[in-house]
Amino acid sequence: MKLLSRIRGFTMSDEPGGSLNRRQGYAYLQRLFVAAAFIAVVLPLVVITLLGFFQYRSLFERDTSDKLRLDTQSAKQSFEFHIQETLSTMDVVAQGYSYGELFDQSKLDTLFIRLRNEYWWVVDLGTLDSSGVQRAYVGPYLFQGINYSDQEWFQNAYSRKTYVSDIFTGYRGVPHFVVTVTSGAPGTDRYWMLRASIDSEHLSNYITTINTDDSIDMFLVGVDGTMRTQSRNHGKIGDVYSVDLSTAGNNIALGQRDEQGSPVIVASTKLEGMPWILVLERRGYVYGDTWNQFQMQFIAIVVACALLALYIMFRVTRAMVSMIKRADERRDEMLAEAQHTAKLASVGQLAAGVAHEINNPLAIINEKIGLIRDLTEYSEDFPQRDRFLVLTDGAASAVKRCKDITHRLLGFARRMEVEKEKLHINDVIREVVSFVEKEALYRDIKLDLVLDDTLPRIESDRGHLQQIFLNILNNALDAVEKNGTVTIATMAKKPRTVRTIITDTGPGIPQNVIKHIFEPFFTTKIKNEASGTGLGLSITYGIVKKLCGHISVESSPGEGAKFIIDFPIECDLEE
Amino acid sequence: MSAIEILLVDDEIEFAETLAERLRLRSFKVTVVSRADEALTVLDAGLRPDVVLLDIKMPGLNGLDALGEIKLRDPDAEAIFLTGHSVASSSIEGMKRGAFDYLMKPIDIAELISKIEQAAEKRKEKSGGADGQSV
Repeated sequence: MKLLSRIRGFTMSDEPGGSLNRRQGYAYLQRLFVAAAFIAVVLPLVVITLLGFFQYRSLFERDTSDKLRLDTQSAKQSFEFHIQETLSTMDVVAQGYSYGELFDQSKLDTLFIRLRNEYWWVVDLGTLDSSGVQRAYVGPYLFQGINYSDQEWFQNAYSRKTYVSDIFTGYRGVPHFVVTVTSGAPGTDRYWMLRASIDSEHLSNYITTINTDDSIDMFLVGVDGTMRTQSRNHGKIGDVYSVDLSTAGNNIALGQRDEQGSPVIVASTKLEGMPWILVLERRGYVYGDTWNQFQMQFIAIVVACALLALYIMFRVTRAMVSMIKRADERRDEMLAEAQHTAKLASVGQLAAGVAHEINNPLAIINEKIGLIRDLTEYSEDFPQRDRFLVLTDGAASAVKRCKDITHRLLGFARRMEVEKEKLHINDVIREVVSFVEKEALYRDIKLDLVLDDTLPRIESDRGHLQQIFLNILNNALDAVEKNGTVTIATMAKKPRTVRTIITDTGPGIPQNVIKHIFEPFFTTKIKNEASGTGLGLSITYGIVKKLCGHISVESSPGEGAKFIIDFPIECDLEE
Repeated sequence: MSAIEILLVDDEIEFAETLAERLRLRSFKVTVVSRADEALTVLDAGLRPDVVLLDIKMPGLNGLDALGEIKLRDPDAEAIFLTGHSVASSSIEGMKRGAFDYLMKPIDIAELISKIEQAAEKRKEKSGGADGQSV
């Protein structure tokens, strides 16, 4: 809004103290336009791009999350089944023995062998009574007779049908966990507990077996937040896992990033009946390559679109500013021309007033001189008579010069009567050329006529047109040296206008002279030349205006002068 | 042939008197007045000049209106406007109202005399025609 108000309130000044000069102003306007166009085009593009980007990424994440969730569920079921199957087998097999047989070493050996046939990862097997004493034991250690009643796992397992302990080192000094099956009421003579030990390494091996996706890091974390199995990204057993899983149920965590900035999606689930949390961690999306490729293409397309938009905006705004600049220049030219016309009109009025006021006393002087001459002529001879006649002739000549000036001045300003007719401008030009061609011939000046004979007739005054062309041709002939050329060309110009261009190969007109060339008494000719009154072009200007026309001059020093005169086909002439 | 009689009406007395003297030197009979109403008075008194030389811009009755009054008193009167005025349309208007011709000041005496003689001749022809009709 601020930008729009800036554009609306944009002003320029030619004044030295003005806020901006023209050049700065147009550059500033262009920057404003570009900024506005940028906001209108590129900003929405960026917003749409970002929305699309995040939407697409969200799809990838959802897809990846769904897949990871399925993988997690599958791994959980597999893991739970794996442990539960061991426990169930232990239970079923144990139920096949009597209470006494379970404490019998040879029977337990047989049971252990049967169990190991199916579950080779079971390290040892022991039978405990309700006091926590391991009365029978099969395995690589000498653990028979050990009382486990003070062990945490025993206390936890004591009253449960089945139990899976956390990983601990225990008496053997090797990380392992125990699975137990109990029977009979706790505290009675018929109570027993069958305990099997499994090395923790088996958990890592099993995870490796069920994890078929290389992009997934699968591991177990204890309820205390430390690692229970080896992880590719989170270190060894016992290290603290960096992700908070205190609320872990069936959970999928998104939005994390690794050190390389790749998305990290973590799924965790608590294993039923076990003190572990199964964690699946995926780095990158399922279709990561497609995503990366898409990202690159997307960014390339958006950048290309933004650059193209910027380029087009720049070109369009430059063209717009250029149009505004040209319109301003045209307005300035019209304003200058209007001022020039008004100036000439006022000068014309002033000149007419002065001429009229001078005319009356000049008429008196003329008559007085005439009377003196008459008296001298009508008188008899007297001394210095001839000198008297010469003096009065000189005075009469000076009066005539003044009279010529005042009459031209009056001609410049007055509303001359016109005789309207439809005429061919080429005919008028040919007539005028016939007036001056002898002079041109005598001075070795070439007169070139390039007349378009298909021009329509115009409504105008033949006499005035003759005067216009004669004045300009005379000026051109005066300007051109020997062997020079004066060219008169006519052509049609839209709308419904006939143009005449008179060019010469003279020395040209300096810009400071062009500005004043149609003003009365402005002349560059030498003072003693007969035609150098400085009224010719100002009269011409007045007549052209009267005939609804327009006259202008183009010239540069050394390149001759070009007078361009336009007349409309129709003109509401005052007769 | 009797001298051509001229009534010169111009508020520029210096001009009018000097011009009158020059014309008199050339045997014209000239009466000078400085205002249009004076000219009408002279005409009312019975003067019938061959040619009236009239300035256009004068105090009181201007030359154009004065011509109408003169024509009322003397329909055959021939008038030549002498004008220093810039508006040529006034002179054209004068021609439309029956003036013989007009000259721009400062005037050329030879040209003026030529016009006066032509105007006088015209009046003479008209007066002769009128006499003929009245007979």
